[in-house]
Amino acid sequence: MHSWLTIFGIILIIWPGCQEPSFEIKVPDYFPEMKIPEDNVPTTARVELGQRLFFDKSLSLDSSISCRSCHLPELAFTDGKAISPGIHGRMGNRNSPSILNAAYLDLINKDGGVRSLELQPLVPIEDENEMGIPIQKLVKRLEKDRHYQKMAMTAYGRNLDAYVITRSLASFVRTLISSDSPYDHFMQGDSTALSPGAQKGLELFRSERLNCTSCHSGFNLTNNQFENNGLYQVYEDPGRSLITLDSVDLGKFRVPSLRNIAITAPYMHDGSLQTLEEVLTHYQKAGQDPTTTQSDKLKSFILSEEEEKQLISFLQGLTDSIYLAEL
Amino acid sequence: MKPAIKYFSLAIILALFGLACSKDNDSEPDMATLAFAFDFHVDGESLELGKDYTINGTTVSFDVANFYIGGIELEQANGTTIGLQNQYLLAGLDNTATLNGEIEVSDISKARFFVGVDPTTNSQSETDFTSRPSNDPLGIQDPAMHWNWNTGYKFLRMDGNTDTDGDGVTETGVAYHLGSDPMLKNFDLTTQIDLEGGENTLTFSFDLATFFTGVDLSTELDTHTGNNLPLAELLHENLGNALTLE
Ligand code: HEC
Ligand code: HEC
Repeated sequence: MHSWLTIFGIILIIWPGCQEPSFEIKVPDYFPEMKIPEDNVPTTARVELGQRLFFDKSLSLDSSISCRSCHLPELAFTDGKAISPGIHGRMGNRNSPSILNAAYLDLINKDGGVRSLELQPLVPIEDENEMGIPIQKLVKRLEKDRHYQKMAMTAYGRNLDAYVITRSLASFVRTLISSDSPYDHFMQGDSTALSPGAQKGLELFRSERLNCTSCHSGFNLTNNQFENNGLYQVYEDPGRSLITLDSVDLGKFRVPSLRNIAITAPYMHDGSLQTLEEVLTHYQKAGQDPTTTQSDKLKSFILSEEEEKQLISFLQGLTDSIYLAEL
Repeated sequence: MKPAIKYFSLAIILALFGLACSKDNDSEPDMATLAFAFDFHVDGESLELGKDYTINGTTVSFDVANFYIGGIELEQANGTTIGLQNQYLLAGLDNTATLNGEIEVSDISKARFFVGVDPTTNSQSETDFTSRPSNDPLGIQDPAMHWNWNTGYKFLRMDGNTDTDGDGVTETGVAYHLGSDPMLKNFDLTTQIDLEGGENTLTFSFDLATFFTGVDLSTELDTHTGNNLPLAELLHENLGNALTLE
């Protein structure tokens, strides 16, 4: 009798582990290893719960917006607006970034204030200008939903709470990978994936003359450093210095990935540049007008009309169509 | 705030347990109990949430007044040090922390502690606030003491309303939040607190008028530390005089 009970107990303990296969996030082997917290290894149940939460408007105080409102899959998880309105049309102060490949970020958000994907969801959920609901209040609201409770139990073996909400959203965000652009195919040896013009554009992008790759380098076209790219003399948004409390970081923002850049306008932390042409116009004169904290990696240069077309054609080659139709 | 008290008491019992074990048992000294309390006031007048006060000529009221106290070490005249290194108190209007264990009756001659949260805990790298039980002062609080846009905790949070146009009506929201490692405030106080056999209470006394010394509350409406560092630094400085031990 006793030993049967023991065996039954062991099965109960092992059961959740057996039942929940880990979720395989498909990434090409030229992507670096993804760091995943031990207590939040993705499983199908966790990702599904996170996905459901991501698209659920009841995550906002007046149930008017979801994560998707500002991160539309068809726009590489951006929203096409300079500043995304939150509840009651309230305006924050930053442009909604693509969250594709966010799994590879060590410091999250443009100023690097958040140190894990697990804690990031609390920013929009609790921010008065975004979803505007204290996390405890959200827990009280969602725990009444039996379906959510069941999913929470399967995914994390506990009731729906702040831990489950943040962990599952992070699990879902971690699965959002962009690695299938013409640029990827080109880099993997398909020399026809980029047009000859786009290939010239890539050369320009990598040239010392333009120096783009001194910041936009690597598999995700970012060195993940905080840089001031010379947008303003005086920044309304202090950027990185909000976090470090150090004035040398004034106007510095994390160098963003340029993947899917052609479909994620408008650009920069405040959405102040409307088109890629405007971005290139900015960079051509950026180096001429150094502010105190502007990066010395910025070069001033002049692009011919043809070169500008080539560079833009290259940037368009960074678009991955995988999410355009999905979700 | 009851659960927080329970958690804290438990921690103290455990801490004292450790202490008790290392002591000789031959003589039976007089024993005392110790509780922590917080006395918030404005220039001697007790603080009530929502009530109007005048600070530096401006009418102002508060809805939130909380801060963390950690790293408490009390030195007794008999050479014993009571250390509560990894435990935190959430100072608040009605918050108390009762110490259920007992210590020897011997005056407290020194008190060391800090306002804030130690850098390791504050980095959220080992256990973040969502992973902590709800009765942990470092777990999610209502009103919230965790930051979301920035890593870690608001070490100190004072929110309320102020009168910006001088008509005596507090119409504009104010928020003073200190956080981030450089905002940790260390205290090392020489005190003379007599302990008696039986119940004793150690009261942290916090004067908001002193805390806001040199701050024009009709114009300086907020600091979230990084967005208004000069104000945060002034408040951090004032904190040293605003908080005392009774
Ligand atoms: C009101 C619009 C809005 C909503 C709603 C919103 N976001 Fe965002 N999101 C933003 C903005 C703006 C940023 C940039 C914030 C910053 O840098 O300070 C951002 C940043 C992010 C990032 C970090 C990306 C990076 O490159 O650092 C992730 C991940 C993210 N959001 C996920 C979510 C999730 C999950 C939800 C739902 C819980 C959500 N967002 C809801 C606007 C929004
Ligand atoms: C000194 C480092 C640096 C260099 C050099 C640099 N960038 Fe940037 N780039 C940044 C930073 C930082 C941002 C984000 C600024 C912000 O958010 O306001 C950015 C933003 C952008 C954006 C907008 C991204 C978005 O999602 O809003 C584009 C496009 C871009 N850069 C292209 C280029 C090109 C093309 C070059 C070369 C001509 C270049 N950059 C050179 C640092 C750099």
